[in-house]
Amino acid sequence: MNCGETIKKPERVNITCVICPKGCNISVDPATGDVSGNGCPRGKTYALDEVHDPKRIVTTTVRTNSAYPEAMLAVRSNKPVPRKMLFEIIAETNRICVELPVQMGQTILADVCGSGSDIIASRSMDE
Amino acid sequence: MYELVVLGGGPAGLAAALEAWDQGVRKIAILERDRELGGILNQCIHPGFGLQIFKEELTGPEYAQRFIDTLRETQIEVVSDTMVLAWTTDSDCKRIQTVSPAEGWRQIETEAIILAMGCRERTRGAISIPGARPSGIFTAGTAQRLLNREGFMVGRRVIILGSGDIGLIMARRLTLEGAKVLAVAELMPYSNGLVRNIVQCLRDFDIPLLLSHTVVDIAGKSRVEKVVLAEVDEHLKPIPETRKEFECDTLLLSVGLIPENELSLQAGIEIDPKTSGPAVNQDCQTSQPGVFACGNVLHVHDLVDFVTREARLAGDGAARYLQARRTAGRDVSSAPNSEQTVFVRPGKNINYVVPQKLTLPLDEDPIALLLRVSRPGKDKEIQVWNGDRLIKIFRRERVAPAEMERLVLSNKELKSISGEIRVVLADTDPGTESERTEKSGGAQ
Amino acid sequence: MISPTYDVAIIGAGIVGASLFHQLGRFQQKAVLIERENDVALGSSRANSAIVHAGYDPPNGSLMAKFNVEGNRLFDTLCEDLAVPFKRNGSLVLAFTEEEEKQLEFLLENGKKNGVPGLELWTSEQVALKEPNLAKCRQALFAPTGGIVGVYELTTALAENGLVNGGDILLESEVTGIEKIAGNPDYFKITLRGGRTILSRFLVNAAGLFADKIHALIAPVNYTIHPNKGEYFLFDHSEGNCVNHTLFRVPSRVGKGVLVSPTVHGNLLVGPNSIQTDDPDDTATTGSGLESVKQGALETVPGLNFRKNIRNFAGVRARSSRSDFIVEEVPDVPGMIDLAGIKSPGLTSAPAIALAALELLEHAGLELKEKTTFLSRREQVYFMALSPEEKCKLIQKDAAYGRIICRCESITEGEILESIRRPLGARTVDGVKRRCRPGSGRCQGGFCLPKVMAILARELGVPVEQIQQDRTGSWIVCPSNKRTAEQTEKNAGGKTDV
Repeated sequence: MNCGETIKKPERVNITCVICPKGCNISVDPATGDVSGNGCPRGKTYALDEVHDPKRIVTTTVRTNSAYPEAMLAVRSNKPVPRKMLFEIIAETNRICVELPVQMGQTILADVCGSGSDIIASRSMDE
Repeated sequence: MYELVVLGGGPAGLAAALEAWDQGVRKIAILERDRELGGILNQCIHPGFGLQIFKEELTGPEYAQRFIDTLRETQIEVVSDTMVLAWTTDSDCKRIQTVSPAEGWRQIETEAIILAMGCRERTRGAISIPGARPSGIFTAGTAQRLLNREGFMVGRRVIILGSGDIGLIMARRLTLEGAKVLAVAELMPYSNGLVRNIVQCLRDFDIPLLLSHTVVDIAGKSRVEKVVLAEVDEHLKPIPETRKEFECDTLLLSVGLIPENELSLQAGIEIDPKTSGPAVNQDCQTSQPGVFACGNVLHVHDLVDFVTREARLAGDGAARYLQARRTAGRDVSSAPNSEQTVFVRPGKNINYVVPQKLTLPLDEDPIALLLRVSRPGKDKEIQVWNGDRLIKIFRRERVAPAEMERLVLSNKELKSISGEIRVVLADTDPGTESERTEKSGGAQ
Repeated sequence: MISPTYDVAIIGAGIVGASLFHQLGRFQQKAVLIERENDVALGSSRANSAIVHAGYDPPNGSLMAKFNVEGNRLFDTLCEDLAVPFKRNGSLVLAFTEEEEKQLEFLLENGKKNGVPGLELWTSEQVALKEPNLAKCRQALFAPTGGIVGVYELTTALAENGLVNGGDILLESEVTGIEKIAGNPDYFKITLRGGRTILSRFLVNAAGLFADKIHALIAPVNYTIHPNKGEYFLFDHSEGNCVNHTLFRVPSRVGKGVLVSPTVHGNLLVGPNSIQTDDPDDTATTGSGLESVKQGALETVPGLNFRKNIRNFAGVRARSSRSDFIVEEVPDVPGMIDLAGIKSPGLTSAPAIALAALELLEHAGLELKEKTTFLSRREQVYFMALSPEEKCKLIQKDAAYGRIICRCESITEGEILESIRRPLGARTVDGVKRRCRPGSGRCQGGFCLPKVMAILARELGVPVEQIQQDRTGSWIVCPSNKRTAEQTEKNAGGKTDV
């Protein structure tokens, strides 16, 4: 590192809130947790989560033993999972094949990758 | 003979049939061309549906399943794997010609019809993208079906044209499944997708969004080998010096949806050139008495919750039409005369308004106008005029063509309307106090 | 390995080669049709105006004039026999200036000399009555024998009929060498890419855009082929009734100009322009080219709605260094016939060129003996053209005709299965489309592509991932991370439902 360079303070992070379609531009200081620009309290929580550990509902498909060409079962996580785990969770779900029939909401993979979320069926499928 | 036949078992058809059932209609059939109910929702596996109707965030299949499960508790007949070829109308009944492997060609008689056939995607031809014609060029919805229903990848290195929600959602889906999405290009200087999707589908995965860009060439003898993008000027013409080549094997097009109204046209129903869907009144009744339309066949929606609400209007409208038929004897088939009709017209900076007309007399229920503005803006107001009289102002902090606006007018506000209602978009005058500020609802 | 031996080998399965192959089916002599692509009709025959020309414009005395007028006369019977869609909608050449009016007089005289029946000059008012959407013209030449045809259907049907009548077809067989083997009689030894060889007593070069290269494999060059590209717009059915006749501009030095015509399938076709290209496979469209076609068409029909365009395409015509068709025995190579430089009106002329080629073959020593078992008729189901009763009966016999796969064109699974199971059946998605049209409508296969792929995979017994769009190498999908090899295998034998 160039010795003459001053050490930069961590900058404020700008986040577009997606809680509602208003799309507030929120500014967060990750160090202090100072939040500005949010239109409501939900925006503050969202912005802090986005800076420290963003979470997402994960949705994907898993194979089934259906004989039809439309053989994939839509699945989802029952709660948001850490964004950094998305690819790991998808890889895990890619490995399995579900025996039909299945009911909407049925657990397909419990506590997937230790995330604390279950992968559940998004729909019912008979054959 | 059926009382009501619903064409299409997607979200619109399901909600319309259930509403008609709830209103006491008993001989109902849904004709579905697919093997399963649910329509396009079956391939929309992402979350974001149902915030308004169910107050929770569902995936597409979950949203559909709730209606399918409710339908199972009724005696609504589902005729699947069946294609409608045409229908004819006379004063007695409507005759729908269908074909299916199980029943062959047959004619189904009904008193009322609800159109709920949905929409289709605009294609490469519709926007005349030049270049070679190799394989590997898909509309986003076709790619979505292949991936989410059948489990096939449409490619490994992908360019997406169009930043509508389907394009954005497919960028994330393909990335999660192991493809490399090189860029999403958007012709307009703004995205047509929801902010939420830009954040969660593109930024989460560092996928560049190239605004004011379009595809100017495609190369590849058998499979796509290269896609050339270029910036466009303010007249949306490509600027040759800005050409950028991308080596890729796939091009996805998310360049718009069109209501599927070939059957409606054949049957002689009046079509609004702005929406490409039927022109309807507040009950979603088309120019043909007893024929109703809802969902994406009427106009393309961005929120399925709006589809459900509209479908319930159509289902309720059909139920009341049938009731009126019973009361009046057979003949309520004549279209309302001009004195009973108030036209609703899009004015300045408004692309379209649905319903296109109101049939008088109005009943107690409030009336929702669904519309799209023709350009994005900040601090705007949408004004509803009847002749010289300003009926109501709806203030908006921001408006965008991609976000449908829903304006609710009460029975009182619509009292003594006549002639023509005009809706315009104007800058907010800081001096005027608006009557009420409404926000359009949840994201998807 | 012993090379298979034929009486006649035809190189090139376009409309010209297929027409001759079809004619040879009438005789006991054994013919083979050799094609470098994986299907027939993939060169100039795949992308053109699909017009059956009346024949007033080729110069009187040329082979083009002779074969055009003769070929035109043969279309009714040919298309009726082979169940190919064909309609004589009549054509109009429009004159917008005084100068162009003079040229109409010339075309009329030339047409009469060529033997074109029924030609009439129409006044501006007559034209306006029959074609209300046209720009006001001064005069027009009406040719009642002008027509529109399904060009892939015709080429495929001709080739299929030749196959049914005992010929062979070799696809994906590029000819890389030709030698003459002296003997009694002499033979041509034809080498295919990969080293396979076949022997044939007579050889016909119908290689279209590659005819000069095929010719050069055995004979000194005496003509060259100059590929000439034309770009098109194809409009939705909603615009199909916008005009009734095929509308031409007065021809100029560069060609017949941009035409506007209904197609036999109820669409509207607009094009082509004329662009020299070095690459015979260059079928890419260009922004500037399409714009020029658009402007040209708007001069004729000002109200054309280009928002209703469903597809752009470009075709390459095989113009030669000579001004006329080349239909002759190759100098110094007895037994080899060139059918080359078959530019417009090549499609119209093809049936007559085939008859002329038979004569040339006979003259070169081929003895033709008619066979008693010749099958001249071909049947094909067009589901939507059937009456309700016929539809019911057909579905009772085979439920697949009750399942509509292509919703834009209302094409049934039965028709698709038929297109795959026929002799010379479809092997690719576009092969199915060329034979029975799923995917050629307004959604351009958006809805039916996955279904057609599944049907093809099932019928051919291969995984869906192996199904090609068109040419070899035009893969459509690849396996996802979820699909193991085992799953892919299993999918090949899935349920019969799609």
